[in-house]
Amino acid sequence: MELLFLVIMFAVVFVLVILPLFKSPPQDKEG
Amino acid sequence: MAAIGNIALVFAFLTTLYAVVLGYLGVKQDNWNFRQSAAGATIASFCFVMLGSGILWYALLISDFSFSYVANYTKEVLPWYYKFSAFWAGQSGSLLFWILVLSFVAVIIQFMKYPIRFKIGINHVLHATRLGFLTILMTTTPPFRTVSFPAADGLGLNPMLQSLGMIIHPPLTFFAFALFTVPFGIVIYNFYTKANLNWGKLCRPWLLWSWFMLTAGIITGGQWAYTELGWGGYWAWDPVENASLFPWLTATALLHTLALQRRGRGYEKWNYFLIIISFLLCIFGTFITRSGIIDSVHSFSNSRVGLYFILMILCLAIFSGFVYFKGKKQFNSSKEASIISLDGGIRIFNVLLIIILVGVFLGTMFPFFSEIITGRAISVQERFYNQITIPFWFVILFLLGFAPALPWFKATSSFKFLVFPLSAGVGTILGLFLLGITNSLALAALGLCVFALMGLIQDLFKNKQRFPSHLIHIGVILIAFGITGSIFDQEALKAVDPQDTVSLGDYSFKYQGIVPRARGAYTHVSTTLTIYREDQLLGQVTGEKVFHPTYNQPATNIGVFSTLKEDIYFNLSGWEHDHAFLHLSIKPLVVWIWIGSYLMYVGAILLCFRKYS
Repeated sequence: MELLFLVIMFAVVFVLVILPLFKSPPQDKEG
Repeated sequence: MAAIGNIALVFAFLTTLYAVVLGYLGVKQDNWNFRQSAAGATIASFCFVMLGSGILWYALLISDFSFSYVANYTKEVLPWYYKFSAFWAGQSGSLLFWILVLSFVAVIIQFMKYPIRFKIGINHVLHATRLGFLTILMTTTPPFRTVSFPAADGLGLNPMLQSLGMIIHPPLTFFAFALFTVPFGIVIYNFYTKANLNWGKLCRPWLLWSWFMLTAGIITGGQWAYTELGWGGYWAWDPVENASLFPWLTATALLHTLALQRRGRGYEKWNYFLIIISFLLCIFGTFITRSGIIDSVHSFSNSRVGLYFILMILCLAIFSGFVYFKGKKQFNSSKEASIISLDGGIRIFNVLLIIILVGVFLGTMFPFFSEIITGRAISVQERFYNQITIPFWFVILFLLGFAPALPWFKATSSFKFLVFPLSAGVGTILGLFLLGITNSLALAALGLCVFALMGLIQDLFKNKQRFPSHLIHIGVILIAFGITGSIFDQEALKAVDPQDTVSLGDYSFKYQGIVPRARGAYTHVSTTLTIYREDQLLGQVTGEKVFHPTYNQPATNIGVFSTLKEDIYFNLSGWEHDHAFLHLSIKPLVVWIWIGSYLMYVGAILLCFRKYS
């Protein structure tokens, strides 16, 4: 159970924090 | 599960820190990926705080007494809703709730249609606050502390906290406090980065929501005190009550001077100061409630958490001062307006609120200061607060009826608009005097209430767009009207035997006996009185004491029979077999306080949804 939660937490970090670092920016830049 | 809770908090801390660093670099280096990653980290940190909170809630609901927090604040037999609300019954739970709400607000900011740099800027402030709270939480009062040998049952929730009021009141106050962080973030971002935004307009919706929630939080706290504590009042100038009043006073002042700023009158420095001070007072409120620095019924704890709070407040105050000097040139200067104008009225109103704030603050902190100087904590009596604030509330009531009719900026040359409200006010005083009311304080207060009410109604005919704000103002007047009733409170302690009839004021009460009942693990001892007025049956009122297995002191459930004229307030003080001691009170006009507060809620919600060009 605890291991499952740990895996989910790392998955959240990977999807929300790490992946955006490698996405290609849109042409029309924000901000 | 406790280990996962702790890891979730560590993950929340690290992702928040990451969001701060990457957000800063993303803006500084104009790196889109960094900014997106920082936004993702903000959402991730919310998920982790949510997970931590979910674990604590789950442990509370299934009564997992291996968690110290669960064992300290719940019992197996506690209904699920009290187990749920036990989340904010203690120090670590309420800090975790603060963090949860702050994290939620940070995610809302992330999804707002603001420019990305602006969102990152505001969230930096929210993140900094969250990091501060997470540090306090993890180092001083970790919520997931466990014991090796769990007890068979918990200690239970303080009986006073087992009421509907305590399910609603703390979350409302925490939400209000958390929402105050956003205007703070907006002004810090604006003046630190010299962004030159229309920050008054940006702050307004956040301030209105937080003001509404704080108002509702304060009033639900008063309703809880009235029906649960049994001492017969709704406001006792308790340090914790005062702590929630401080930011309310500054935020109320701020909402009014923001209206001046919106009209191009300046007041930007003053509004900046009020936003900073409101936010710091929110943290100070949490500090007073949770540090145990000043003894009160709410201060259930006493730990070194206070030192961390003081440090946090100091850091934020110093940083706000630094930002002020950094962005000093951006502040537009105020324009001089006549004192007999609506601008002038708002200025006077601001000064009055700040005087009240200073007076109540000094009174609240007096035990602390006196202990430092004399070694003995000397508490200030309720009378002190009444004496220092009542004259200013009176002037505020006068302004409520007088100022709205004044033109913006320029002095008025005609005072014809005063004829109707003044006549109504003076007529009320004369009428009440002829009816036999001779108490000068009551006459002045009731006359002013009528004057202010008529002034506002008259103004509504001319300025229909002011309906939501005037609804709030009318609510304030009704609350003042209700509080005035306390001058005529009557009370008596009666010893009775079954079938005895006792009287108080115009009422007589028939006592029939004590009824003990077991409800699960609790024992309820109640009595129902039949109320008569001039031999006419009016109804019944029940007062009871509830005995909890783990608390020596029983909880009180007050019986209240409410009419528009007065409340009959009944506390079953004690008994010996069927011989009972009844604490009966007649409290005139109390119901108007609650009616006034509902009007304030409606007005505030209408204002929250109003769009300004």
